Amino acid sequence: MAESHAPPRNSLSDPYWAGAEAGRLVIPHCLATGRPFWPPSPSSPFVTAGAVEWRAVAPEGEAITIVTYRRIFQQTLAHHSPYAIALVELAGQVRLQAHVSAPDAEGAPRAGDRVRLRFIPLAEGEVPVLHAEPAQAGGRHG
Amino acid sequence: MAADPALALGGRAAIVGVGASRFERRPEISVFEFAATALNGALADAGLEKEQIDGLIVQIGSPRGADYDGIAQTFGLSPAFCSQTWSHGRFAATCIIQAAMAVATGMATRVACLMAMKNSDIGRIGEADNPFFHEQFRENGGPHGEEGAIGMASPIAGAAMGFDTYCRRYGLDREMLAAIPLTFRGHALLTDDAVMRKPMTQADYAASRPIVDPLRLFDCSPVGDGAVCMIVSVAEGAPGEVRITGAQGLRAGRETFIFAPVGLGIAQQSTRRISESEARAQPVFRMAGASPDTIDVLGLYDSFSPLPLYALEDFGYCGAGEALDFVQHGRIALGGALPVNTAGGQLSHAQMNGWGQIRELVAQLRGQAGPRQVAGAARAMWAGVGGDALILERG
Repeated sequence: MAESHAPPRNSLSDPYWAGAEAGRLVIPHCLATGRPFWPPSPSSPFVTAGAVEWRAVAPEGEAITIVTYRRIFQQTLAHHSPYAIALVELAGQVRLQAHVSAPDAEGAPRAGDRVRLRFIPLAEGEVPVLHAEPAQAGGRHG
Repeated sequence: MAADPALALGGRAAIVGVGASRFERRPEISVFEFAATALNGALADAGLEKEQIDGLIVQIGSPRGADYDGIAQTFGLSPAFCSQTWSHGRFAATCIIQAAMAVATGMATRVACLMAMKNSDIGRIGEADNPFFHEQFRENGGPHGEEGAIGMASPIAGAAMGFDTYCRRYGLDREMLAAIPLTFRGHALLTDDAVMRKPMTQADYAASRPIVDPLRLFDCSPVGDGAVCMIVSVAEGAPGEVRITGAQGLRAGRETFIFAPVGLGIAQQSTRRISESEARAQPVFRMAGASPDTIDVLGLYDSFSPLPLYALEDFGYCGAGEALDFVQHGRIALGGALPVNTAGGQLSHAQMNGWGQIRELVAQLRGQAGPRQVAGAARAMWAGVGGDALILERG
């Protein structure tokens, strides 16, 4: 089987990926407490058997840490090297991981920065995935 | 401090035999050859025949190791109590604890705990020809925070994230981490069967290849081949037995991450750390009636060099954010106040998922550690970053 980096998609994750395709960050919330959470669950992790609703959230937060890949593990992403992964804390203390392009470039986001999250495919025709960009950046990827 | 009588397992079971294979990469050798050396070594050490084994607990298993059924069939064992954990690390202590519970409750009388694995013929972890590649696409994330769809591949990235977060939270200099790989390499130089026996200097460490910033090649344990077996029986006070006086299982949950202390993980929604007093009141200490101050020699999980820091803090050897200072100036070296991973740990002895460290603690308590012997070692502790722990005492 050819190597792929396509994410698993099914009933649990489909609202997230449908949002991604529409360019919207949608994550699950606990109805009883109103708290957002990640990763997705069919029932709230905060209350027993608690109901869950997917809601759009502001695609911005603080990059708690950014780690840069200096070695290639996935051949399908080799042409993106070096790239980095940011751990981004959103409102409600939800932490999401996001791809960072060209992390050594001037103006690339650094740990501690406010970042904006955008869905961009890693290759043409692929499902868009979360990227972290400097909060003030705009339109770099069209 | 007296042992808590409600924690009834303490002291009832003992490790009575230990055996191990060599640990270098040998792709042409069957994993059952490694298992045979470890199992037969442990049986001989315990003075037992294989027919006396009635329990079998296995860690790792396929696709990179021998499974419980194949082991029993291949070696002609007839255990009536079998168990097996998954094919990653972190369950070494849990396997020993299951065996201790089995013998303490009469489910079995002599349990062989065995980890036999071969990594040299299955590609590199994180790459597509390795059977664990699919784990970065596991639903809700891989076991070390992997997310293959955005390029978050291989366990080291989670370890890098944990360490960078830790250094930023406490304003620490990343280069201080050198103390851990350098100390353990120094120990490996005294260990005949250590895989990494070339002396390492601070300059060697600083110059080692970056893998995922801020971690380097010399922050990684060399994934390898080998087997370790430990036989657990009811404690009888026999010569050479090592009693399991304290035990505590692996934790999990939203506030944990396997490569960070509690409170600094990837998916959690709080930053609250375990306090030093909470850490020192955990079941492993209460069961044994012990505290960190009374441990003579320590084994810590170190598949990546930052991980021992978190276990030191989460088990109360020092406060939150203090471990990087704590490990400097020889404190955790042989001859220091708290010798850690005296055979070299996973970083320099062998990446046996913690089984190598527990084997070394048994050798220390028996006075069989040769040039590495900690004088008068009577009480030892194993602690994992995941919260699993053992306290072992001379019989």
